[in-house]
Amino acid sequence: MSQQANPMDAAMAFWKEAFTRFGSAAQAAGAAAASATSGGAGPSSTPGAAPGGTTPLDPAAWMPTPEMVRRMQSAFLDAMAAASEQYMRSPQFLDAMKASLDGALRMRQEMDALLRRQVGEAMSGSSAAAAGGSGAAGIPDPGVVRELREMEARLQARLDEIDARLSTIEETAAPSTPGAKRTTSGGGSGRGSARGRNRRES
Amino acid sequence: MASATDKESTTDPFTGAARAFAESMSVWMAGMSPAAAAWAEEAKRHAERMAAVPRIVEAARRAKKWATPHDVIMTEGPVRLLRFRGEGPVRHATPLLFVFALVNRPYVLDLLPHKSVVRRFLEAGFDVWMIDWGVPEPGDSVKTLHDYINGHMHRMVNRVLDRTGQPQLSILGYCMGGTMSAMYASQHQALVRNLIMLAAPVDWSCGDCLLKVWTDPQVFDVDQVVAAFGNVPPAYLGGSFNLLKPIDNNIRKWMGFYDRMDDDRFVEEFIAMETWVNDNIPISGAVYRDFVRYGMQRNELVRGRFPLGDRYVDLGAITCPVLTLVADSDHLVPAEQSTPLEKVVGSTDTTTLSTKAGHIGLAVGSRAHKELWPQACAWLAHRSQPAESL
Repeated sequence: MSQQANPMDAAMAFWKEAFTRFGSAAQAAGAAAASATSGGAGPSSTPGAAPGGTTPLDPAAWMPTPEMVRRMQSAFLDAMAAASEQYMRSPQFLDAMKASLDGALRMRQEMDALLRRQVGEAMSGSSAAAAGGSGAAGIPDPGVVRELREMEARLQARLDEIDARLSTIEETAAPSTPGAKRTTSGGGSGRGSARGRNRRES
Repeated sequence: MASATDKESTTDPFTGAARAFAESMSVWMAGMSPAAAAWAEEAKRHAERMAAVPRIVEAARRAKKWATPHDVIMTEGPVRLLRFRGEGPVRHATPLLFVFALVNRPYVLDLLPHKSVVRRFLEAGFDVWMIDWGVPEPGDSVKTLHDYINGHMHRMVNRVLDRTGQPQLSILGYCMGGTMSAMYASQHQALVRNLIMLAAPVDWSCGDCLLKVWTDPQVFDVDQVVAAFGNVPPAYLGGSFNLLKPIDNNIRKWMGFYDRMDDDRFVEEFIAMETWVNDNIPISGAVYRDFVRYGMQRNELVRGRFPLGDRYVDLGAITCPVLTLVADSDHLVPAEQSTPLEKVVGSTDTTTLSTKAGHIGLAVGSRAHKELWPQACAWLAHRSQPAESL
């Protein structure tokens, strides 16, 4: 499908497409209705019409049937589906999608930061107690200290495991392919970023 | 006649009024012009649809998520291994393991008795198992494809083999589950007797679909998404799938429903399908990142450069018989993304079957159940160990 650079061009393309389909559907439905009735001159015929035709001025003779309306509706939806598919491939949509995703992610990160700050403030008493400083009761909490140490050890073990796996991958990759290519296209950067993220989490 | 009268006497006032309206419309239509009669017929149909509303509500209340009884054989956190109970004898000793994608619930393969892929295989005499990946917890966001495939999946394959006493099993993978199954088979070929790939992408350079356009690295930063969300939320995934066909999913579907809402069988199927479509689950962030980056963005799988654990996935290591099932109107995984598998596997026994359906129609479509699944069952039966030889 061609991509419309100008929104007005896109709108006009949709309009033309919709009307072409709409007209074809109406014509096909009208022809079907005409052949199904004795008159054969229009979408429908009235019981009082003369054989072989209907009165041109009788509005009932040109009343669209539900089938005709359905076909026109379907043609309109076909045109809308084609236009929306075309739009969702356009640079305008992709830019808008990127901007909207960036905005949503920024908001999410800001919310996370805010929540972290609030939780941090709420727990500051416990932290001080854990560090053996001036907690509310002024007594270090050995349970909290132990939990922190264990958590740190678990994270450290996980990081070591990831580092070891990464080293193995790099060693495996190096002899089979040119090293430079592996670093740029084989996922080295991805692993690197994963490692960075884990460190941030710890 | 007596039973019809009894039925009418027990009809609620709403349904009775709607029926009376429809009958009066029929009398009134007798002397109308064809067009007016057609509109009156349309009005009558509206009344019949309105009369169906209480039945629809009742059908929605009755909706269930699995059609076939099963036992949970093993659990690992949210991941479960299921074994289905068939009614007939098991005629093939080689067990069959279903592996679904991580982005949706697996019961679409067992939606309703007459739309259940699980049942088709049970009826054909197979011992059917399934991995239900469950809902990942926030801590699972660091779980990689390696953890799922060489961890959970490998342990569950071993459990199936232990329980059945068989040296090998057959695997049927659907969509992303198919891709994961191919990865598994490439690294554990000795355990896999047959591999069935159902609408599973392996070569993302082929075919033309919106997902490919949207995940282009120029416009989509997968690291940013994973860093912000951890596990990728279901609303994000579901919204993206919905937007792939906005007119069909948001307008045509409901128009179609309104048109046939007095057809009880259609309503039952529609509700079952809607229940599944809206039952989205998050996906582990690390899996999502690997799949998007190495699969959709860099197309590393067919080039033997998709990292899994300490190794790259080598599809050439798959030497078992492979059946590729594709749909000709698949907007999520075009057939062109699945069929290149037969060129890259090491197997000499490869078959591809195509049917007129969409991505989900492969699992629940009437045509697929009538034409595709009997062929797939026959293909697998021919390549499985007969139960008599045990």
